[in-house]
Amino acid sequence: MPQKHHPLVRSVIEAAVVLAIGSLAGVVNNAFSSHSIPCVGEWDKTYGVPSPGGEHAATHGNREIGLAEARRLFENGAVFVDARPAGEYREGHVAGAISIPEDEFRLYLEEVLRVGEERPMVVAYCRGMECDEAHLLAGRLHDAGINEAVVFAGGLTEWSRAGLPVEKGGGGNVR
Amino acid sequence: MSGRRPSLIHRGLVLILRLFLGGLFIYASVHKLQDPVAFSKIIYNYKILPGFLINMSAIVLPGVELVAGIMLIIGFMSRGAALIITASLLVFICAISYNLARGLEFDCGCFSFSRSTKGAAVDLLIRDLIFLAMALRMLCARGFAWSLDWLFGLEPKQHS
Repeated sequence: MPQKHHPLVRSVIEAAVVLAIGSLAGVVNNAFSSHSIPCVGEWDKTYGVPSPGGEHAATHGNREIGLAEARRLFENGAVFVDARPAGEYREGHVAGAISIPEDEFRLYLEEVLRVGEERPMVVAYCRGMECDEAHLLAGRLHDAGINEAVVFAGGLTEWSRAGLPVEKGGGGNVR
Repeated sequence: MSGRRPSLIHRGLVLILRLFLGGLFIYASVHKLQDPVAFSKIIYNYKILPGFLINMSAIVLPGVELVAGIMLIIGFMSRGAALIITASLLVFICAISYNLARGLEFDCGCFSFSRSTKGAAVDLLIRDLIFLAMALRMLCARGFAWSLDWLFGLEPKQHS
C-alpha cells in the first residue's frame, strides 16, 4: 500500500497500531512478571495503605489496624516496631517502640527474635498512610515466625496528631 | 515536491535521532517492565491519574515505550512510533511541570526507581524538553532514510 494514504493519516494509523501492539506487550509482560499487578489497584487511602494490590504488593497478607486498635494494643503492652531508618526513629517515635529499619532487617535479627520471644503481639508502623516499610517489615516478621505482626496504617503521623505518647532519642537498640 | 533528495547529512541526522530516541525509550522501558509494582507506585505518587487507571497505565505504558522504541530503530511504522514518542514526551513534560508548579515532591521514575528532589525534577524537565525538541525535529523530517519503511517504499526515496 505504498503512498495510499496521506502521510499524516498514515502516521495516525501507524501510531494506533504501535499503541495496540505496545499495550498487548505490556499486558503479556505483566502476566508473566514476578511482580505482576491486577488491572485495578487499591489506591484509595480511606481503605488503608494505598497499593497496587495483588499478591506481589507489600500490603499483601498483612492485617492493617486503625488508630483505635493501635491505641488499645499500646495500652495492653504490645511491642511497637518502627520500620523507618534509624535516623528518623531518633527524631521521634511511638513511646517505647523499638527500631527495626526494614531495609536493614538482617542487622536486627537478634532484636526480631527477642521480640518474638517476649510478646507475641507486634505492631509495625512507618511515617503514615503512604509508606510501605511497615508492611514490608510485617511480611519479614511473619517469615521469621512472628505471626501476630500487624500494621498500624496511620503510622507516626496519625499517632502524634492524636496526641498519643511520642519520645525522641536513641532508645535501647538503635545502631 | 522539489524532486531533490534530502542531503546525506540531513538523512544521517534523522537516522541518529531515530536510533537515539528509540534506544532511549527501550532503555527507559526495561526497569518498568521488570517491576510493575514499583512503577504503579511511581504513577500513584504523581497524583494525577484517578485510582482505577493507575494499574492499567503501569501495565501498558512500558510496553508501548518498548514497542515504539523498537519500531523507531528498525524503522517499521516509524512515523507512527515517532508520533507516539513525541506524544509521550509531551505528556511526561506536562505531568512533571504540573507537579513542579504545585510543589509536589515526587519520583519521576524515568530511568530508575529512586527518590528525587525538586532540583532533580527541574533537571529532568529540561532533559525532557531537549528530547522533545529532538523528537519534533525527527517528526518533521521529510524522509526516514535507511528504515524498513524506506526499503518497502513507504518513505520517499526519490523525492523529498
